[in-house]
Amino acid sequence: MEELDTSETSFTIEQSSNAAGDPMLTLHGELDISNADMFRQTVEKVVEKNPARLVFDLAQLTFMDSSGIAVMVYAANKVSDIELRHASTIIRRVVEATGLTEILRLDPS
Amino acid sequence: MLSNPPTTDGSTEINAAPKRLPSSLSIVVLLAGLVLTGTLAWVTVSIHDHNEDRLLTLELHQAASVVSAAVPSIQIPLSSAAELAAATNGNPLQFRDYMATYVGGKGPFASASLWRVGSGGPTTVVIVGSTPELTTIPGAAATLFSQARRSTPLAVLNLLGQRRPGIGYAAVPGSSSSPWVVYAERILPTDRKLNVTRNSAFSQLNYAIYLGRSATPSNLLEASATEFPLRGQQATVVVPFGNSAITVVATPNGELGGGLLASLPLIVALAGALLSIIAVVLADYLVRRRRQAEWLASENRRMYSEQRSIAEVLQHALLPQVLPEIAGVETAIRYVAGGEGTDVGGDWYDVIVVDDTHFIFVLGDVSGRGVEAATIMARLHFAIRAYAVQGDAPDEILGKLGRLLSIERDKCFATILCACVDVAGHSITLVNAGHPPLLLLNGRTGQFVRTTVFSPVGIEDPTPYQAVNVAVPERATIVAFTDGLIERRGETIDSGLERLRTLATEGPLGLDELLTKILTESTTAGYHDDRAILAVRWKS
Repeated sequence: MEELDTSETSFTIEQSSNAAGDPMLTLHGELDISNADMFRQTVEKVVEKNPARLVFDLAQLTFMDSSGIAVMVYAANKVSDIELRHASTIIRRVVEATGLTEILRLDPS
Repeated sequence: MLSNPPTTDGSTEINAAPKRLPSSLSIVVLLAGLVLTGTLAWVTVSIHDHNEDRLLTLELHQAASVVSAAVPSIQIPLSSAAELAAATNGNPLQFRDYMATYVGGKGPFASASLWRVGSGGPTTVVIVGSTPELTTIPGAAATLFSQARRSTPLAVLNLLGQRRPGIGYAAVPGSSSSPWVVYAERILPTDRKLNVTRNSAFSQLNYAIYLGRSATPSNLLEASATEFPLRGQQATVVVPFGNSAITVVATPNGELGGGLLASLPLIVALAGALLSIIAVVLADYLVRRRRQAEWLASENRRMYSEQRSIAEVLQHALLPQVLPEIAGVETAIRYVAGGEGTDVGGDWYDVIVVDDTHFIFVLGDVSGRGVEAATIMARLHFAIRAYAVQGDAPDEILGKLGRLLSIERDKCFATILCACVDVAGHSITLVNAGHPPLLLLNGRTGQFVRTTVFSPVGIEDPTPYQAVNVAVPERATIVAFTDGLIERRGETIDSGLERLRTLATEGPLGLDELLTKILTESTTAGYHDDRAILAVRWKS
């Protein structure tokens, strides 16, 4: 069934590292139940290496539902320093409405 | 809600694979191919026949022109001899000298003679070559010569029935008063076989040449054919020959238009039949492929719907189908399972009576789908019921749920709106764990109850849940819902909330009508998340 759902929304993850050498995940498109598993697997692989800091670039992320938030929270639990960059208002409001501003600290845009 | 109920014998119905029957498409293709082939072959045959007829007529006219051209070679020497006789008053020596080159050997005639027609009948003046057959037929000379006088320049006598078969020719001088008549005979070869040179223009035809205007066997002069009468396709032309005529009958001895044109109908028929068969095989193959694909697709749908039904059954077993009757308020619920296949969401709702004037309502959403989400939902649902029944307040209930769900272990969390309603006191005690806010409708106005949004259940957060007390006006309505009703791609949830608030305040509606309106008008077509709405309306 995942094939059916992924065909409806497009979501891609770009993996890189920032100047300080921290792993960075740049998210593109719409993150929802249909691709949250793929997102989780990517995050789990990064988290396994116990990085001190993990950066998410959310500038290109246009939609995120609770299943995507769940993966973010999972990452925040595993990595002590998590940075969420460039979140749009849409993403920011979802995180706020879910009562997670203390756990998923969004950098001021 | 089972979309694929078991059959009466307990086994699940399984569609049989498609049987190997020729498809109607294949039959249509075959018929169309054969009809087309038949038509083409018929047209080709017609064209071929028409072409052969035309070619035969053309060739025959060419042959006739050759025959016509031969007439002067007989007529000119005889007419010249007649003029000579008239000029020399029937001088025998001069006639003999002139005709010597035309008689015997390579000359066209076997015999030539000069006659004088007097009052006592025709008499011979001089004979060159053999004795004319004419003399053996009584009265023939007089008849022929009178014909010659009437039909200048040449009268023709049929001698084909004589001992030595031949043709007699009579010519008279131009002046009708002259008594002189020149007569000549030609003897035909015994076999009368006409040898047509293989590569000549007429090598493709068999000829039969007759003296006179009819093709009767007794009049046959010459023929290239060996069998008579000529059979099959034939053409006839009549060429004037003195006072008589020559009839030429021809039939092709092969294909005038060439062998390819003759075999074209056969080639067309065979190729057409072959193409029809190929088309039928292809059509049949495609139809089979389509049937196979359709069958597989229906099997897949069946299997997916079975999977889905497991999650659906679980979800429906947990969700109360009838809400308890509570004095002083009216309650209503709408729930629509979203998703395709196994993707049943994790929304749930509950109404638990605490005492005569208090009840707890819950609206929750597990952040996942399918059977996993449904089992977590079940866990939380029963735990909340248990805590509520033993008298726990909403904040206490949510605080205890953290032990039952962990984002690290279960990979999901749950947003929950939990409230204890004091019906008589017109107030609610509310806790929001990451859930969309409660909508309070009072007459034509509506506003969201903005309380602290705590983190969802399942997430470790040192901040304890704290309930908030909210006063509810008389006859007011509170509406709780899940995010499926407000989430839309490309817009903030605030836009979704505002859309829902506008819909809910558009007019005074009964509680059921209100929820139906919100449900049908708030979400876009093709939306796949679960949607749940729960409403409570005070009767006074």
